[in-house]
Amino acid sequence: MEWDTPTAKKEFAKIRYLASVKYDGYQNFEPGRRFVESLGTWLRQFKSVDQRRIAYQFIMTRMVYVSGTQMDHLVDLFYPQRVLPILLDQSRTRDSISPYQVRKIRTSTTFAVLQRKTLFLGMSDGARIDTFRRKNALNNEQVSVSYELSPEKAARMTEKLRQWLADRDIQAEPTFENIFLIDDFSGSGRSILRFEDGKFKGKLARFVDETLMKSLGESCAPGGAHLFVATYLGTVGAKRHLAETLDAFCKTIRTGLLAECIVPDPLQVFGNKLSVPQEDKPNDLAFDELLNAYYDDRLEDENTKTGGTDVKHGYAGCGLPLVLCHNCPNNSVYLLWGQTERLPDRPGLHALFPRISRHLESR
Amino acid sequence: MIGNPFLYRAADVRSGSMADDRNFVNLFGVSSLGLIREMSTNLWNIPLLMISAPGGGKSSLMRIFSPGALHYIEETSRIGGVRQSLSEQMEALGAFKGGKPYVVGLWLRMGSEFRTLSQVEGPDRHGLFCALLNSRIVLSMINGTCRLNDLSVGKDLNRLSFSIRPEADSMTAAAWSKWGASDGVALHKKMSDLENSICEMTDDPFWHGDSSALAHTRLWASNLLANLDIKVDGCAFSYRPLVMLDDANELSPDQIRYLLDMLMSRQVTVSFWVSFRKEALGLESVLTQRIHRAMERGRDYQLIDFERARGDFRNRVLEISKLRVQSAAVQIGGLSQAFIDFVSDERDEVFLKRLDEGVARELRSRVLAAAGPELERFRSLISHIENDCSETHDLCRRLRMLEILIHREVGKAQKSFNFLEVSDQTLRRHESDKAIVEAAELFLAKEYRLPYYFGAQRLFALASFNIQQFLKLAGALFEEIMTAIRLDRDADSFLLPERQHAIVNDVGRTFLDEIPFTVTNGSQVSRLLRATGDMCMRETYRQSAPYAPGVTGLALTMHEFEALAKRTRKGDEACLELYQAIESAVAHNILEPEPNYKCKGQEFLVLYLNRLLCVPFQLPLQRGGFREQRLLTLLEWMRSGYRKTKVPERQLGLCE
Amino acid sequence: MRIGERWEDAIHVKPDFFKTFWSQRLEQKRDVLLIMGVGWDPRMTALARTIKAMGGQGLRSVHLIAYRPSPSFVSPQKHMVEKNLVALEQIIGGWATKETIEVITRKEGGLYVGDEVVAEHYLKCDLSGFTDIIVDVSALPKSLYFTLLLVLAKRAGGEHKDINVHAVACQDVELDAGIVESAEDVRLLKGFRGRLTRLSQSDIPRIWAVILERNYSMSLTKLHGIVGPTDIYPILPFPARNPRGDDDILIEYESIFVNEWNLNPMNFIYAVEEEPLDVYRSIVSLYQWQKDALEPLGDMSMVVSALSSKLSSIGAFMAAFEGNMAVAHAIGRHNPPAYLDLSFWDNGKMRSFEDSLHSVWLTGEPYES
Repeated sequence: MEWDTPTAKKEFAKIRYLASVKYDGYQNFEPGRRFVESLGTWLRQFKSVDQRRIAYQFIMTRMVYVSGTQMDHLVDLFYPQRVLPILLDQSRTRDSISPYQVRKIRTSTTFAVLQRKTLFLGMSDGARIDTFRRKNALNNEQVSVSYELSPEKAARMTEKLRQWLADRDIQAEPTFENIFLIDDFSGSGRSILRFEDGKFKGKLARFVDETLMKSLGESCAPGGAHLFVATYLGTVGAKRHLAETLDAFCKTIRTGLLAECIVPDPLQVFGNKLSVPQEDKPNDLAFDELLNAYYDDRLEDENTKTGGTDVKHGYAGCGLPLVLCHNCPNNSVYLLWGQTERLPDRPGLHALFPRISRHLESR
Repeated sequence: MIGNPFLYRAADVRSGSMADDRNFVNLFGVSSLGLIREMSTNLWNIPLLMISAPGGGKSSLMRIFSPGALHYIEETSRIGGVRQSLSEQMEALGAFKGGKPYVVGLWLRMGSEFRTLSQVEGPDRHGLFCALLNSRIVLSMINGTCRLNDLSVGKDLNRLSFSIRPEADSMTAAAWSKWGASDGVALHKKMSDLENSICEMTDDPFWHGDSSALAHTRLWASNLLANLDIKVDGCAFSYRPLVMLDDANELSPDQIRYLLDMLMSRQVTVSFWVSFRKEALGLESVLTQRIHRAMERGRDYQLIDFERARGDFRNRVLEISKLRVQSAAVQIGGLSQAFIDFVSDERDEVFLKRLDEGVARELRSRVLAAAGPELERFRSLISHIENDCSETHDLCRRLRMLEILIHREVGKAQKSFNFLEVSDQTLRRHESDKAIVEAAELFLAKEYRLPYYFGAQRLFALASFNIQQFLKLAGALFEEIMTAIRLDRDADSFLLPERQHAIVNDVGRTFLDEIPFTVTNGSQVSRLLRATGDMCMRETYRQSAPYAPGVTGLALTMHEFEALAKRTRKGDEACLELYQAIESAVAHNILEPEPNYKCKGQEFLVLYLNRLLCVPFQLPLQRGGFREQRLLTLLEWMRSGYRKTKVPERQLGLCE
Repeated sequence: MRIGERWEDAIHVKPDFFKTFWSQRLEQKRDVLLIMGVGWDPRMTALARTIKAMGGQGLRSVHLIAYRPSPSFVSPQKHMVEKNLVALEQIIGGWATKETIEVITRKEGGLYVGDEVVAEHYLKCDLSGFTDIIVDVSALPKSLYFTLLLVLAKRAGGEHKDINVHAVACQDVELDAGIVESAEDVRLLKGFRGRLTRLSQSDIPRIWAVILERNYSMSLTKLHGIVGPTDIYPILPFPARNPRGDDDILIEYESIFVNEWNLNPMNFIYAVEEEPLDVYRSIVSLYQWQKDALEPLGDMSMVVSALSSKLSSIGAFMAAFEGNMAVAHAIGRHNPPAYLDLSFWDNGKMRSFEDSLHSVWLTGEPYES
């Protein structure tokens, strides 16, 4: 970087500290290679000092890194911020209690039953469903790390619900009233739901087609369960896409299978001002030139092509500067995660945060 | 991550864990004990008062006598070196006996809850104060005894037993029979319960109770300690109690008076050390160091004013630097561990590099312009200098000094109409005046942007005799040194003058800018300071350097100062503002006072800028130069800042 | 009651629902006491104006806490204070009774007694005529409203079980970021000394939870001096409007964390920006975790500092109150941003303040079983 010592003093202090608190926790670093080493290698691939400074400036002022501790906090938050208000509202409506008598509602049998009749299903490992279950003292049988429930599993969950009600002498049908599908992040919304090749695809579509219609639906309340599709982190773009697609999707579902399908706001929303480049930021524009100059089309595959564009600005052109502690999403600008082999005619790319590609995460 | 060892606040870490005591002792400079050593004949017999601005070193000096620290010193004395030296010094002072801790130092920080007790009115108003202090003295004694005997307060109190000697006075005996216990567990419980009750009383708005039932008539714990036999597992524990009240500035003025009365009246029969931040003592007290009117320093009490006890400050900070650098030794590797070895002091190198032919030509032009129509008076001197100097930088310096001389002579000549040639002798006298040499260096530094604030000597001066200030400066410099070492830039690890100057400028500027937010009456202090600094800058850079090497303070006659105090007491708002500003500035070592300074048949209160605050105003660091100001002028400054007074045209300063 | 249970059912009314909530609440007859501070902050009158617009039946009373360091003190922002007072008079006239409570915050020698004075007043104040007490913290300093809320919450939990106490804050992140707080004086607040100063407990570990935002370096350093913590847990904002906000805070305080404190980099915890209930939850979780972890060694004591917005500080109050924690605070002047001028009192701006009100319901109806 050709920093003089005073500049190096300032910048190294920042880098080392951010690394020790957050970035060194990135789960895809190899042993013995942490953020500072990765940064060094990454910067060296840029041909000039000016380019390195632009890239460095991007990392220090624009990159958003969500650490393990932050993800833990989001898991902690999910129940009180997204689940509890819904259950309280449903309970108090049934019992005709003022919505402000929270303790009364929360300690009521109605609430306890509604809570037990709620399922929490993970859409990926990132949902950390196990941690979610433990933190909220939920019953094992109302939580699953996968949303793809076999008929046997669905049946067992229903039976356990029936037992739970019987043990407490509660006269109520062993049917599920609420289903939460939970994931960690949605960049474009397309992995959750999209219309492609004449039909609806994505995790939500798969859940409805494979799980709800084939087995779980029978164990849902008459009139259908309330389905909530939630992520801890998400973009405004994903929110918009899902709002636009959901209506049409719900119309294709058999009457009585779902009471409603709602997509609550993510706990942390990434607004449009986060995406790269922002016109009012000169370094963004300079960084955008780097994105053009160093692009390697070997980063594209059949899955990325479904985004409708190249991945210079990440999948579907999301243009995010986002890194998650467990994996860098490919909705982020490629220079953060792009790794390609060096060949005689191609320099290849070094990733700052190497990514494990799971094509389902690409949307 | 290993941090900057100069910035780690060792004494702030609350004594509690052994690791904290170890860290503290490892970073304690033995030479700091020199301040105590000077008083060793009377050390245990009469009260010792310590006063300083924040960061002066009072708490560290007390803490080194705390049980945890003494225990660690004893344990490690066998290592030799510094640790052994500490142990020997403690022995010499009487804090150790036969290589083991003898003093049980009860280090008590006076928190604000004592002050809230002062809200109780009436004759018993000190009763709760005494009660709380009694409980804490006894609890501290129990804790200290355990620590020195490797016992756990939680588990081993039953191994302690206490009994009062017949020599104790009757009031102490009566208090003991009510509040004391022979068993360690019982005594600890009684004192804890008493402390808890008082704390709840002060803290809980809903507390209902009879506060007078908790009050004690006297500080009986002091007499108790002088007559208390302690046994550990049945064996007599021999000790010398030392009560150390830290930050007594937190007490109310009434409580401070009560405490000092008690100490001076010899009611207390054990050793008492009390520390105050200067802000508590009231301006006059600090200035006169007449802490307690009726008492005589030396006979009735000892006093250490940390900012005035300057004698071995250099050695103290050198030692502290060495210890701090050692603590980061892993990173230093094979390089020298003396901090000052990392900071260049090469003044001549700077001149050699920067004062070149171009500068010399410019200076010559200026000399000619300064002489003006009286050039003939100085022509021979100019030639003499030009012929005499073989080195360009030497020529530049001498020409600059000559310019100052010319401005002085021209001004004088015009008044006296004496247009004689200026002699070689005059020149020699002028050039041998250290003040002129330093003024010339300062002027050159400003005019040609040469580094000025660099080198070990200036670094020590910039600390203004305050340890914390030194550590802040050294820390800023060391940060860059550490970076250079980490980057294998050995050349950069030796800090050049330019870098030192830039870093010191940053630290000085930040110090000035933060004043409104960090000290009591900060915005008033800031106004006074900026006006003072502007005045000093203007006066320093006058072309004839009349106050060489420069002005770094102001002076008010003692008569006017007393008038200010009087008008303040009468409620004059403007005077109150100024008085409070001076009081706070002195308390925080922002202005360094020298009261009763005799000059021109009058006595003055001289207020020098903290040396670090000389930096933003580009002032020299030597003392000596100050300018008298009238009280009305200072009041005007508080209102509207410093304003230039009319000066003759030829004396317009360099900052025009 | 286990810690965390007291306010498990707390209600935080956010700006988008604030007016609906209060207009619904005031549809029934309610006897309302509004306690507010007098100051230069343009947000001072936002709540009073909003509540008045809700109408409704019942008593309306306003307590104006006029606080200053000495009887002769004149605010450098006198013109702004007067503008607020004139506006308030227009609101109150014919709508509510008014009582001004003079609080001289400093005694002889500069001793800060503001919290004591406020406590004393509200211990004796007759609250029996009210169903709802709203404390508007927008123009009150933390050094006063922490103790004020403590007294009210305890009285509402004791002799006045049916009183609903609400804490209201007008949240304007930009305005708050421009306010410069000096740190002349650091102390523990009345009612919140915990066991921190007790020598009999000096050996027990002290855990310091500090809610942090930017521009508090001086306060942070000074507070560290009086707290003397065994371990420190800074609480950073996340989720937040600026998802990079926590990185910026880490960079700003890096030298303090690394060089002065040698802070363990694993010690950072998070709470949602603008969510006092999450601040509360984060602190009580930390408390419980520390208590469990340190149990073999005996006890522990917890200290909280809120170097943050007033909204977040309400969460800190809740945790400190419930856990009998100490609260260490830097007391000083609040200087308005340099850009603050009378245009901030224009109608458009006032409306935006009214649309930025948050309410936290601390006692009463939500907690009835």
